[in-house]
Amino acid sequence: VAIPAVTEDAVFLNIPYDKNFERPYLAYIVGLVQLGLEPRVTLGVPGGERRLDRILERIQSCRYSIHDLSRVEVSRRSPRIPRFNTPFELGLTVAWAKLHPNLHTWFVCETERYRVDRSLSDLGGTDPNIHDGTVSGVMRELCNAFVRRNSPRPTQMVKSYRMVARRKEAIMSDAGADSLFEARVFEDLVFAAKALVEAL
Amino acid sequence: MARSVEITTPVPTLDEIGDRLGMSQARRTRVLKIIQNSGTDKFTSRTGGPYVRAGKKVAARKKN
Repeated sequence: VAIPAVTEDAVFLNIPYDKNFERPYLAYIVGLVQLGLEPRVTLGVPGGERRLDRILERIQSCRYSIHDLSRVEVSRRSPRIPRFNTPFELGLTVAWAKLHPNLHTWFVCETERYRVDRSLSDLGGTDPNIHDGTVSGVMRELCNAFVRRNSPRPTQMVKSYRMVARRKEAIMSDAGADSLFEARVFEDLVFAAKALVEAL
Repeated sequence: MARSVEITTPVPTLDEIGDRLGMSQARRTRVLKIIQNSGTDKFTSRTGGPYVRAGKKVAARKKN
């Protein structure tokens, strides 16, 4: 099986697609763009047999990945079940990085300190980035994880986030979407974030 | 898992990001119009591209 070409500044964003996670999601997009990186997600990956292959290809095509394990609770609505997609994709990534350590580097983020020790004890010994579920926390942890010379300060990145957040409704409206978690909206947000960051 | 990595890749331009996302020029212009016309803060695109600035089409900035 051919390995897809690795994009050196691409970051696979493995996060819960959850209405209550919109703010951290948007913060990840804006923060990564402002750090000169390109976020990629699984939105838009079609279902069916090949979905898993395509998700793996997307992971493989990215030099880095962020896995946010903040949503480990069971859903509020019946049937009350936990979500396994995020930890599953983390598992795929860990295996990929283990086989090809020079091709991929992964990070784990969480809202709560020490929770990963209980929710995913196999990760014992790793040190997750704790963002407290806040926009400023996400920006701080992105700056901690991705160090770039002359990189913006987290406070500047929060300002950029606000500029994009003010326009998210218009972007969603134009796309005819009622959620930020749609492929077209994601692409428009990345492009809008880049344009707004450049204009600062 | 890494604690931090140093990023040395060049920062992609707006056009490069648009290309990577597979966005047409028309769609890029549309998104830029949206962000110009929404929000309370002022926005003017600094980068090249046949984008709209202050309601008028402007020529793409020449690359050196």
